[in-house]
Amino acid sequence: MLTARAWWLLFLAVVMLLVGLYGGYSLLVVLGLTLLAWVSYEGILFVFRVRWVVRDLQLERHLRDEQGRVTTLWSGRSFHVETTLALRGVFPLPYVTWSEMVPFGIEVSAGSVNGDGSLAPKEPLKLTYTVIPRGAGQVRFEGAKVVITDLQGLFCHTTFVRQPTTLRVLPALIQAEAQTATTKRYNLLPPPGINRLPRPGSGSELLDLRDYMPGDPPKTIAWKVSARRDKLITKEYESEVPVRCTLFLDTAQSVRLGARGMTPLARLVEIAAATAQANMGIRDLTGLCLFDETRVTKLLRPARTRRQLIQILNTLADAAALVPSVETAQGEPLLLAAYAFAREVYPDLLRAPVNRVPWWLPIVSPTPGPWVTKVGRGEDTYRVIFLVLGTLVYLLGWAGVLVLTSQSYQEVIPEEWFNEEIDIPPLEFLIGAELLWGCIFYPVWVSIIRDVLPAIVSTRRRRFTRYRKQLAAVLSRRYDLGPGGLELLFQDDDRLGVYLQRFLEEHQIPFTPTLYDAKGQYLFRSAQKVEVLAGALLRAVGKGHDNELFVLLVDLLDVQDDLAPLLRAVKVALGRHHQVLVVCPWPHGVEPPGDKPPSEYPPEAPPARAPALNLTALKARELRRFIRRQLTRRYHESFHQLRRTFARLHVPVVCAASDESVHLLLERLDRLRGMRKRR
Amino acid sequence: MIDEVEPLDETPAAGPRLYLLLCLTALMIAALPLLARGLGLWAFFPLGVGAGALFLRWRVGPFLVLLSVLALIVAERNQMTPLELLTNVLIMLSRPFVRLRRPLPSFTTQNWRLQEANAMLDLVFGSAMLAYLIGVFRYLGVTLNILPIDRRNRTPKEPTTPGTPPPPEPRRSPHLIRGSETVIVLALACALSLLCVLLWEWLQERKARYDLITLSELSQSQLGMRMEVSDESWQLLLLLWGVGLGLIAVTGVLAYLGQLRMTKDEAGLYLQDELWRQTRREQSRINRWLAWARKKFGKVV
Repeated sequence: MLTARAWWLLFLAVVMLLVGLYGGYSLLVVLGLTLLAWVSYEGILFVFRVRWVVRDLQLERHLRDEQGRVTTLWSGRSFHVETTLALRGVFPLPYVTWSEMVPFGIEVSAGSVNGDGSLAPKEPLKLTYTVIPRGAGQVRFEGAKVVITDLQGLFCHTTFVRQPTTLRVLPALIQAEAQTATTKRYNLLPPPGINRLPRPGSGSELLDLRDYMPGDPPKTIAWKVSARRDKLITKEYESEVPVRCTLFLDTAQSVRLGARGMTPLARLVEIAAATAQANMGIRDLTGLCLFDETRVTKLLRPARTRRQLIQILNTLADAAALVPSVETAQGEPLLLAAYAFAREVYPDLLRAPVNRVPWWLPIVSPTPGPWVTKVGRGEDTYRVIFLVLGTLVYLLGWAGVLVLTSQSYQEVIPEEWFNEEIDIPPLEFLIGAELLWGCIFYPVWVSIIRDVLPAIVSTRRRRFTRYRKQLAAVLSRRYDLGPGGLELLFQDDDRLGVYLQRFLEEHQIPFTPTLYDAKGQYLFRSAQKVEVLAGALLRAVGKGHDNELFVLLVDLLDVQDDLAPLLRAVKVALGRHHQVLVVCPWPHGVEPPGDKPPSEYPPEAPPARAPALNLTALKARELRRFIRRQLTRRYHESFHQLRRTFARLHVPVVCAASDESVHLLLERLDRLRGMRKRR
Repeated sequence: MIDEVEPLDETPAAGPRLYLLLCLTALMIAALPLLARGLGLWAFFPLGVGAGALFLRWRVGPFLVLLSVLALIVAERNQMTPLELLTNVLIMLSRPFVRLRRPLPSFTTQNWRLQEANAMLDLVFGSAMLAYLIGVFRYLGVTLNILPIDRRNRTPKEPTTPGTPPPPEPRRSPHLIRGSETVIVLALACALSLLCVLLWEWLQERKARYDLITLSELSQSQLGMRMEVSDESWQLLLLLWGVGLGLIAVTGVLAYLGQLRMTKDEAGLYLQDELWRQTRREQSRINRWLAWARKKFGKVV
């Protein structure tokens, strides 16, 4: 709380006081006393402000666009933010500097998020700035960081005024060129929202002529043709039906991986939003089905209303905000991220009076428990060495006892040991000592040397224990885990990891998820989603009408071996004369696949320094390049295999890699709609 | 389109000049008691140091002024001017490396009467110095930094990435300074100095041989030894006791006020922490075994 300025001032004041007092200089005594009195006065005032006045701080925030206040944002559009910091009580704050915490995924395009001034009860401080959200999803405004100080800069206190607000960022509105014309220019074309289906129906265009069958309405009889053929012929007309397009969006863990706004899921959401808007533009019915590896999480039946579009966009925004989470997360990286965030946003909950960390805690209770958590290699070696040493001492002791109990110990032990000066203790004493060592000293030795000593020596370990205890307390309180919640999270790595993930996810803080479990198994394969998707597709087929269009926005590159249920469902859909299109997200930064399969690529030149794939000889850059090439090749192979698999069913597969894929997809959809542009 | 954010008023504010004026005036007033004590031109030594540091905007300026006052005292005690004192110190420091001739002692400080007790002069000097210190710290807060500088933000190597706010400027905006601030500063300086002069007057009357007479007699009769406490030590002890008791009382009151204004979350955490401290060992044992079982058998117990 005291700044360096105040400490120096106090030091000089005390020196002056002592010199004046013992030297008989009243001038210095008065000056020293005056300085001390002044610092004390300012200090008491400041502490009062921190303990009492700061609680009255309030934050209010409004977002607006050119039409007024908004509660939902649009990706890529600018919005005006007005934040007000006010004081409720009667006591003022002489000087505060404050800055609004801008959420991730938002760019400040104009104005400033910092401000300062004196804060009085009826004189609030205001900040105005303009933001542009980047990418669909959700953004969370946490509040403002407020630094309180006196006018001399002797004291300083940082706090955070929380005013959490979570806002949806809807996907960007599609470009004009992606929208199909909604006006009917020629009478040959059906009105918007109606598509021709080459099946007998009640349309206006002639499809075919056939023999008259009893029950056919007389007005459908083609009289001239009947007269020519001398038998009754009936005209059959085309069907005019709306196209129902259902988008199946993959929200499994595998598509959530990546940097914010660059995940496969973000790309899929972008495509789904564009498709939905284009469909609505031509008055096609559009539905949405979200699924993950466990179940169908959201289902919107096809409809063409404006409300449906808004619902779809809202659902897509929520889907884009999903972040990866696993049940066995490594706590340490999450702990660092969460603590750094909590220190910024929840400084009041990490204060010593309410969340104390006893100094002895890292020593007495080193966490995580030594037999619970997997430790690093260095620490492991250290532990093994001391374990072996302790065990050796123990075994040597028993060996000694055995030798002494044997009849021929005099043959084993050298003769010079048996001079008069060496007094061999009695056997009972040796056995007792050995038992004592095994039962008491050995565990103590192991626990002290193995656990307590590193805790005393290692500052990192002490720091982590402090972080862990304080965050365990905050999380236990936040998620209402009951009286034992603190110690539960303090001891259990997995539970702590899960709650840390939840904490970070709720605050929209990006973090690096744990990709592999303790056995080295990849945690984000999500093969079960294929069955969920197949089930959802079959249900949609079962409830579908004619001329349905199913767009599968799903990442199938990693689950090539588990496609059988999906292929069966697709066959059923095709058998019912529906259309299916697969859109496969492409990882960010990986070169998109070409038309040629990877087997026809030119042979790759081996790395210059490693002709025999000696990875250790490769430089880091070459190694990265090599891995990247291999990864790209693997993705290309997977994609071409996927395309081949679905090509057998005449189902097109589109790669959602570049910006053009939205246009490509819309073209494909238009083609699949059937007869619309055929004439 | 959204309205453009209005730029801040860039015209220079009069606030910093006001504090500059206050500091210089206070330094000049502080020189008067020194002049009255016969320091002659050396009375303006703190003024020179302070004014120089003020115009150069040195952060150490206020501390240099205090040190210059200390230097005057030490010089007077050694019967030499501060310049000679400095020369002697330099010679002493360089003696292991260079052998220089020691200058002859000077007796130019014979007329200095810094030890002379004069409550009025002390009051003026204390008030002026305090006004200067308050003024200079506020001036530095406007021109350099009011908050401690975060060294991590001192030399930003990369431009601020989108989504993260730039580091806050630790400088007070000049347009926030009001004219009434200087009046409050002067009143505060005078009041505190007066209080301290009164306290010092009271302390000077405290003599160990009178105040501790009972204790002294008791020690002599019981232990057979005479208790010798100097007046200065007794005064210091009284001061420490007074300050300590005052601090304890004030801290207690402030802590109580802080507890009164605790939020629900803070109060919950406080109670949770208390419970944890009371039952930590039992909970620790149970949860360690549960964690071990989870790890071992891979299921929630």
